[in-house]
Amino acid sequence: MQTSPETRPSLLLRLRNPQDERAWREFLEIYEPLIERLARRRGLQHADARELVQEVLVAVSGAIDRWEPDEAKGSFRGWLSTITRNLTINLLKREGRQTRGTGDSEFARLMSEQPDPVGENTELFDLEYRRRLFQFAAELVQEQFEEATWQAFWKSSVEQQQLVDVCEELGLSRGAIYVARSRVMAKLRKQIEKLEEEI
Amino acid sequence: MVVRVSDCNPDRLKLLLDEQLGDAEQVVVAEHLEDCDACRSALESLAAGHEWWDEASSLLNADLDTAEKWNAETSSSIGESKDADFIVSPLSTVESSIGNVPLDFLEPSDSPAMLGKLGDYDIIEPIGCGGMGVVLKGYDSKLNRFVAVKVLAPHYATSTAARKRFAREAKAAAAVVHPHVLEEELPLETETGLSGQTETSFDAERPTQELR
Repeated sequence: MQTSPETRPSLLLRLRNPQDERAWREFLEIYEPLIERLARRRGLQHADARELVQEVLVAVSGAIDRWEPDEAKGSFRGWLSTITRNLTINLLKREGRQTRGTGDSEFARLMSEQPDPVGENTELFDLEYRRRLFQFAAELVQEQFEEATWQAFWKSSVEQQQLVDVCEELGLSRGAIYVARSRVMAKLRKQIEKLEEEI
Repeated sequence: MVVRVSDCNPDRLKLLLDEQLGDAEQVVVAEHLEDCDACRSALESLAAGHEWWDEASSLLNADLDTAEKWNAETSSSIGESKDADFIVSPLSTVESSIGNVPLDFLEPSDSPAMLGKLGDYDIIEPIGCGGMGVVLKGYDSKLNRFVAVKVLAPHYATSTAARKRFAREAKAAAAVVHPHVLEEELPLETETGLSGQTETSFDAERPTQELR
């Protein structure tokens, strides 16, 4: 279904160079919100999610030199997905040991919800990665359009409001909405394809 | 496939998506699309396959601002999250007292969203109360994290034995919880000098599960 290409080595190779701050910024732009969202979805509270993000990033920076862009070893995202999951469990375990209250049950819940950790984990990670790609691309693309054009796309295609309502609200004809949302969609798709290649 | 009748022009649709058409030409296309379903669906397919349209809706809907929302939460968060994924939720509405302990020892906060200020911490809400005092959810803006601040009840503030026990309890609590979730702040009760008010009954029903 979602056959996104493997993470291109270029950014990962650039991450090996500690001086390449731009590589890290690009990396963080996509992956920081992604990791945090995954953590939140797995039941971590905000402060813990932030801590998890830091731990994952430390793990990435520590292991990026050792990671070989070799398909047999799985993609970078697969690797990151595993790291994120393991660190999340560590964090929940740590709490589970230390608190008498919700910690243990939270951990138990996590484990019982993931009978197939690898498959399910990867699926969730891929979904959230995809979501993050769309979000980031949308941020970039929105700036390139007039507000009304963007809103025509957003209201009719994303929020799927009735076309007549969108026409009325934006003061545009049906035809203008068709034109606007297709222009936005085309650019959004190209932006996402570009990001997929780069990141 | 697009049927080639007079006004249908796939090349023009392609030019449109490549941002090669001027405003006037766009209007012509828009008018044509109103009457020609074939061209409309051709344009949409040309822009992106139907799976893209589906994903745009399912992945972006009500979700674009998620990251920003989280960022906002760290600075002002009391608001209830609309996202069911989130755990953070206020335990109670903002009140001027918890149980029978008045919260008048709080200083005004710079942020209207906060209940008040205690020492360096913005106090967000009461979490609960126990045998010896109240526990407040605070935000440490310097370290960008939430803290739980336990305040010794006024009628214990003058008792040396109670203070010692409070200190022991605080150390124990600090040892059993995650440091970023809860941190005891002992000096506060001395700094703020709670005294004078004698309150003897606490509302035992208030949840304290965040503490233990």
